[in-house]
Order: sequence, then C-alpha cells, then structure tokens
Amino acid sequence: MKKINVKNTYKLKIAGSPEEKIVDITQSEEYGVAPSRVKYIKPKVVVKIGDAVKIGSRLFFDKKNEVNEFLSPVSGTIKEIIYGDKRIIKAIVITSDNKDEKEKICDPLSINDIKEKSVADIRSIIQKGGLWSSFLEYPFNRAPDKDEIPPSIYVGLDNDEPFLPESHMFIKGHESEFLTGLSAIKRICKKTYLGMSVNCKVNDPSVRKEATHQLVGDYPANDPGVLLYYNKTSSDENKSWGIKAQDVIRIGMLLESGVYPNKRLITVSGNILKDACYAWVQDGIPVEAVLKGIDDFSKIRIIAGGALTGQKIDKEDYVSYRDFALQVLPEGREQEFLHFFKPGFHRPTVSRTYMSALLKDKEWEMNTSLNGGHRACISCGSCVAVCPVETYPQVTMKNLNVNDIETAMEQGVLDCVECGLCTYVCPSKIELDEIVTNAKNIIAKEVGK
Amino acid sequence: MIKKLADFLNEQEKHFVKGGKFEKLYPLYEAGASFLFSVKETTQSSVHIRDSLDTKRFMSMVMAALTPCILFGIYNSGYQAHKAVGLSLDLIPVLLTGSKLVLPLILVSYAVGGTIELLFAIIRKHEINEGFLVTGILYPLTLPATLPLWQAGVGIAFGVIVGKEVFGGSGRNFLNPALTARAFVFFTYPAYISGEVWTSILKSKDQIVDGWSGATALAVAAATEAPMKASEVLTNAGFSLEKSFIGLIPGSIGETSVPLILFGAIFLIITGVGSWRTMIGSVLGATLMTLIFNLIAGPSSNPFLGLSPIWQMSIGSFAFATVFMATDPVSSPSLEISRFIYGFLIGILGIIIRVINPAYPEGWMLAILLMNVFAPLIDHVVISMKIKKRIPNVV
Ligand code: SF4
Repeated sequence: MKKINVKNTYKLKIAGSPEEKIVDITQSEEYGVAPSRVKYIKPKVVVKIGDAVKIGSRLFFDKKNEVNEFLSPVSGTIKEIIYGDKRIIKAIVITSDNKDEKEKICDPLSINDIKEKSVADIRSIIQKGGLWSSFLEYPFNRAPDKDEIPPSIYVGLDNDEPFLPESHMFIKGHESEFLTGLSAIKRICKKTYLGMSVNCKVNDPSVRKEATHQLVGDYPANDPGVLLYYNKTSSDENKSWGIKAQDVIRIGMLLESGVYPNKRLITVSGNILKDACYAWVQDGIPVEAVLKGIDDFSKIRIIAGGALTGQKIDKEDYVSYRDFALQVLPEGREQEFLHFFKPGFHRPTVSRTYMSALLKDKEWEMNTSLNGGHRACISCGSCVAVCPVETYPQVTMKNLNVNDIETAMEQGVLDCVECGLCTYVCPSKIELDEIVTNAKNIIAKEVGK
Repeated sequence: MIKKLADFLNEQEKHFVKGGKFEKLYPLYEAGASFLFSVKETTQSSVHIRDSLDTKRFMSMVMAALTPCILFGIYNSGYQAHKAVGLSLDLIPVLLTGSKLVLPLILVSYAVGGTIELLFAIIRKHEINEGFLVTGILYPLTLPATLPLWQAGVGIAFGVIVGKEVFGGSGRNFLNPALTARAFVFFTYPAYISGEVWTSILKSKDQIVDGWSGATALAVAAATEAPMKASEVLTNAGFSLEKSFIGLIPGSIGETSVPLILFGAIFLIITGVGSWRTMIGSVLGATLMTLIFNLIAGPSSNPFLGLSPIWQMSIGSFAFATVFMATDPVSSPSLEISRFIYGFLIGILGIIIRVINPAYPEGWMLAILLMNVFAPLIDHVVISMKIKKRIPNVV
C-alpha cells in the first residue's frame, strides 16, 4: 500500500457531529424525488400523475446521456409533479402503497457470477439499476457517457468533510456488498485504486486489504479526485472516474439482490439538534420526517451533504439520490459590535489572527454567516495554502476575470476537486469555488459535456 | 443600547441600497455599518460556512503592529523638537508637542485619502476597502514631522489616485499606495524630505515653525568623505549605533526605532499577516549586498561602502520598509517563494541605491516601488516553473 501525504488540507472542527448510533426512519406516506437537485442533467420525466410505480421503476433520465437513469425508491402511485421557475422539475411526489413491490433488474449475482459476466452486461446492470450517476467522470464531474471507457477508477473509502458518514459506520454489516461492488468496478476498467485514510476505523481485513493507497491529511485528502491528482502519471488519466465507497456498497446491493437499493445510511447532524446521529432512511423520504424536534425552521439552514459542498434545501424537500448527510446550521444573522477589535476567542479561523487559534482542540459552533463583507482580493495567499491539488485559486480567478481560460487550464483549473476550501478561507469572501466551477462548466460545454 | 444602534443602522439600510434615496452613498453606509457591526450577510453558495477572518481583522492586525511605532513617533518628534531648542524633555510636554506635530499629518492623510477612496468607491460602485486604513497611517509615518500639511495632503492624494485607483482600485494596484505617496513628496519637495531638514524648531514655547536643525543619519553617512570612517562620523554626529537602534534620533516619524519595528515584525509574523519570507529575504539581501560593499571598500573609496550590515540596518528606514512596506500583500507577489525572492531583491537594491546614489539617501522606497512593478513578473516566472512539473490537464 502506497502512502500519500496530501498537502494543503484543513481539519474543520465543527460542533454537532453525529453520535455513533443508528436509528431507522423509513416510514412516510409520501416520498419524492427531485430531478432539479441532480447537477448537470436535463431530466426527461417518463411517468405521469396516477401511474403506478414499483421500487426501481424508471422515473426520469438525462436527455443528454440516456443511460443515466433515475428510479423510484418506493412502490405506490405518482401523486404530483411539481414544477418550479423556468419549468425546472422540483419534485415528483409518490404516494406509498406500503407494499414494497420491486422491479427486478437482474438475477442476484455473487462475486463469482460477476467474474463470468461481460463488461457490457455489468455496465448495463448498473445503468438500468439507476446507479450510473454514482460515477463521476473527471474533470467535469458528470456521469460518464454511455460508451466512455475509463482509464482508471478511483474509489474513496473515507469521508473527511463534516458531517458525512464515517467509513466504519457504513461499511459495518455491508462488507460483502462493498466487495461485490468493488469487484464489479474492477471489471469495467483496467485499473482501480482504493484510497483509505490513515485514520480509517474499518477493522474488516478483507476490506482493508483492498486499499491501494493510504492517505495522510485532513479535508479533502480522501476525495477520489485528490488521489487521482497525486497518483496520475500521464494526462491520459485525467478522464478517470471517481466513486465514493457508499456508492460502491449500493452497486453491491443492486448486484447481490437484483433490485434497486432504496435505503441508505445518512448522518443527521448539527449542534442545534438534540439527537445528532446516523439514520437508515428510505430514499425519497421527506426531510421533515427526518429532522424531528425542530420548532422554528426560519432561523436555520438545512444542508443536504457536507458543510462545504452541500446543497441548501427546504424542509419540504426529500432525501435525494446523492445525499448522504443532512445537516442543520443556524443562519448567522446575529451582528457583533466592533467584532474585529476583540480578541476573538470564539471565532474559529484557519489563520492566527484571532485568539481562537490558541484553542487547538475545540469544536466550534458555526453558522452560515459570511463573517465579513465582499472585498477585492488582497493577495493574502490563504487560498493557495489550502488547495489540495496545488492550484493557485487567486491567480486562476484573476485569469478567469479576463477570460483567459487557456492560462487557467495550464495552471491546473481542471484538477480542481471542488472542495470549497479556498472559498472557506478567503478573507475577502470571494466565491472562488463558484468562479472556478463556472469556468469548468464553460469548458465542459465547449467540449460537449 | 448597542442593540438599538444595530437596529437603527439596519433600519437605515433601505435608503442606501438600490432604489433608496442615497443609493450612491452605499459605500459610505457599508463602511460605517460594517465598521461597527459584523455583517449579517449569510453564505449563498455551496460553501455554507466561512472562516472568521475578514479584511477588517486582517488590516487591524497591521494597525496593532504599528501602534508602538506611532506612539514612539509622537514622542520622538516632540523630543527632537524640544532638544533642538533646549526646551524641557519631560514626558508630558514632549508628548504634547509631538502630538501637535504628528496628529495633524495623520488626520490630513486619512481625510484626504479617505475622501478620494470614497469617491472612487461611489463611482465604481464597490465597497470601501480596508486597506486604506493601513495606507493612511503608513504614509505619515514615513514623513518628517515638519512637512507642511498641504504637501502631505497632495502626496496622499497622488498616492491613492496614481498608486491605486488608476489601476482599477484596491486589489488591482501593483504599487504600494503609501510608498507612491511618499515618493511623490520626495521628488516634488526634495528640500523637505531628502534628509537635510528634519527636526522641528520651536520659536517660542508653543509655536512651531519649520526650520533647519540637523542632518539625519543617512545624510551624515552619505556625506562622509574618505578616509574618514562612516561609523565614526556617525557616532560623532550623535548617531551612535546604540542610539540609531533605539531610535531617539531625528528621522521620519515612525521609522527610527528598530526595537519597536521588530515588535511589529514579530506580531505580523505570529498572526501570519505579514510574510516572514519577504522580511527574511530583505534582511538577507541587504546583508549580502552590504558585505559585498564592505569587501570592495578601500581606504579611498566612498566610506559609506564600509559601513557594516548592522549599521546599515539600524539607520534610515530599512527596518520600517522591510517590515511594513515590503510586506503589503497586494503589491507583493502572491506566492510564498516569489515573496522570498522579492524581499531578497528589495534588500539588494535598497542598499545599492542608498550607498551608490547619494542623491537618494533612502533606497528602500525606490527599491520597493521598483520591485512592486516586477512582482507580477516574479510570480509569472515561479508559476511557469511550477506548472512545468504538473501533469497537464487541458482540453
Ligand atoms: S484568499 Fe481571497 S483574498 Fe486571499 S489571495 Fe485568495 S482570493 Fe485573494
């Protein structure tokens, strides 16, 4: 196993991490899926109001990439299709019939069966099984095209963004599905790499021995894109794919059972929750059913995903295809008098400009305050110091401001893993991640992605 | 009470935002409100939480680092003025005189520079950048206490407009505006600033007039003729190494005391606000160049060549420029390695200009401004070398 020291990472110490306890939240009368929350797709809905669906029935697919399908997490009837501004499809609401009828996607397959199957078959099962979007094709982070053959696939076992589930929590009891999923992934490309954190708490030796790399570093050292950056030896590998271990388990579940895996382990966290913990939820469950015990939703923000990369959602939304965490943060609208004048023992910072820098092990109660006004870049270099793939966000930003995409690419803008740390640290509160992602999207468009 | 003030300010916001009565004055409102209270704005992108450091805190760290120099500058200006005419050297009267000399300069600098800053913020429709808080104080500290106020005002106006705004404002400027202002005063009114006329003379007890009192250490060193040794001449003229180091000597307001500047340096390094690479680079560059000069110094050559590094670093504005001017992040190169190279070149150039060209006894100002111009080039070279090592990822 190779050890990689990932440079420029940062440990976010936020209060409100989930306890290592798992609850079950699967009951609801209504479920929903939100095509608008799946990034970079043009959804085409294939069901109508009143249609009966089973678990695993096709609900919509991506018009740009038809193999990228999205399936129903429940059996029941389509109750409503909600459209938003510009006719985006906000939600497909399904009334559950509590029957759990399942669409058969393939025969149940063991690891040995997978060895017998052709690559085309395996790909097609994953596509038909609605899990094609578990793969991200670099550098544009989209689901791969139908015929795309990856030079290699990078699997990230651990999560280091608060508060995505920790590997030992989601692997436990699902070792076999993980290994099955992994064996399928190994079949569809020449080279598979599995990165594991040095702090990984997974004990199972059969899982541990699959790891090809050990990663040293804080957030986002365990992002598969970071492993790709450190491991690649030629630019042919830039088009590799990445996938997270939880998605590997889902693929394993699909293969072993032959039906769509409609349950997932998520974290429910935030220090304003009395009971932050892990939860088994049924996909598509209303957020409100998961976040119990909150009286006033007006002063909080619900985030689906990590604190630095997640999507802002409402309590009326549903747990969606890519969600492995629900997090609530207080909206930071409180104002402090002469804040920059005080020692700042309560103000977490990467820098050493507040006394808080002395409190090394404290967990900070954070909120969504911008913590400053928008200003011009002061060239402080903080963003460069936290870029795990060694780009120069401020330089890139300045190049992009004058539309010099060529230079930005030379300086590595396409290696960006969109971790958000540069935006997090910027004292001028520049949305560097958005500037970079927008540029990547422009490039993606030019090359037809 | 404070809550009421916050509510009042928030209440007024509607007049300043788009469509309000005073929409144009938004930068003024924003500057005032965000000075008193932290912002109530929340994150809108997918990065939901943010670090606590903002530019206000960043700049106030520089202010904190400067405070000892400001206080000492006030004291020293009063002290030199009193000493020149034999008045009482007691603390209180000295401080009073010092305040009378220094505070108006600071006020003029902030008032004139701040107004221009505000005007440009209104025209350009952006917030006022806190960098000016630092520029506005750095500049007067590099001036002699005797500079007429109108000259100080013209200088800062020039510095802010030419050093910053013509390039598109804060963040786009590549010259350090405080130094640009200082350089302007230097070239326009050389008599006042070239090191010949420094200390204020008091005609009667509390009426201050400008006058000639004595040369600064630099002027003395530069004027030393072979075969005299510069260090001896300096010591005889009252600029012993010890005194030059401590700083109770005639000179620019805030630049004389090396220990207090060192305090600032340590503060900047600990807080991470000033680049230690720039500072170390500059010290190394200056030491190296001085040693080279020491080597080539012969009995009949310019005695300034023979002055040892420790002397060179104690007199003039070397320390102040290295710690507070060269480290200005906006006009420095942006990468850490570039910052070291940048500091190093400033050290070398500064000593060359100071020693070789007696017309500019203060080399640092020019050295830094020159390197400001080259900062983007240094970055460019460093980045080009670094991207050669990257595996290309282009489409
Ligand atoms: S962190 Fe922000 S202010 Fe600092 S260099 Fe990067 S973009 Fe500029």
